[in-house]
Amino acid sequence: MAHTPKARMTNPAYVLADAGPAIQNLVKATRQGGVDESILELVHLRASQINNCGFCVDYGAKSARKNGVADEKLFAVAAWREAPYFSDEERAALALAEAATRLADASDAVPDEVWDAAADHFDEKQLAAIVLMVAVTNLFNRLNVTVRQPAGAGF
Amino acid sequence: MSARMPNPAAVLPEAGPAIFQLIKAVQSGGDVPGTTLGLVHLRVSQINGCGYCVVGGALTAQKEGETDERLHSVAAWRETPYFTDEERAALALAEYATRLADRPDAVPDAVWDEAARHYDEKQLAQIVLWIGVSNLFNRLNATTRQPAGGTW
Repeated sequence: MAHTPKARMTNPAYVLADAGPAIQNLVKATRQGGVDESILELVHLRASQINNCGFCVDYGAKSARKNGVADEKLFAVAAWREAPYFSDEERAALALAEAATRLADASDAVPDEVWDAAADHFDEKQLAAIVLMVAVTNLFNRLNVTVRQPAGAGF
Repeated sequence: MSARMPNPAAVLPEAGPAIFQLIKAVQSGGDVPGTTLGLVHLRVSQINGCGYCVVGGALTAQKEGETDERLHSVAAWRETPYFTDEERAALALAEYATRLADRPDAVPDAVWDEAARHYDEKQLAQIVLWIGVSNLFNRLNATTRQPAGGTW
């Protein structure tokens, strides 16, 4: 039998009138840095996996596929280090996404090694877009996990 | 100490305005006291080790009339007498909703239900979005190593 979870409440982004448009503008800003859409999709997916956001991993995978990310990348991104499918740029972005997502109770959460590898592949504007994407994803994850937003449905 | 790069919110032209819009959406979205939101932001930023955010958050809260004893003890609020039941419920929710990484049942029913006992849906939306926004700030500032001392 299918598990049909119910949200604890309406998504906060819908309860507060001005939140939705603000979030959309924030997402738009992540697209101003000249980073490939597929990299931003992978970043979103990986951060959402770490934060166990059911709604986000489902939505993110479908959105990534629509944007041309191959299935083999979608299947492997949770364990990308041991997969041959990712470019050096993608690997640097994924490592940054992981470190910047696991901030809680960590010391030296984003080590120089991870930052420098990202800075080798991306210029300042691109780094800004990737860091903002990691941050926005972490915001989404908190909205959806906290209210138990079910995967596969609209808000 | 210097930052690794300017804050991403300043590098991407639409990011700053969008973030301000988001802050306003929380603050004008309902009637959760500003002091409660200040405490939530501070506690989240402590957990995430965001130096810029804990200093800026404390200075801002102080300017808005928060007492020193509450600012000093919010990191260990459970064992202090300074916080109301409403504030304790918001702080507990903030902690659990911040420590999501690699956790099953990250925000347990007991924590959610206690928050829902004190706050209506609009207030819960404000608090949850504010936790989300604080977590966003923390990632912008900690990742780029923004030095503490600035305010907003």
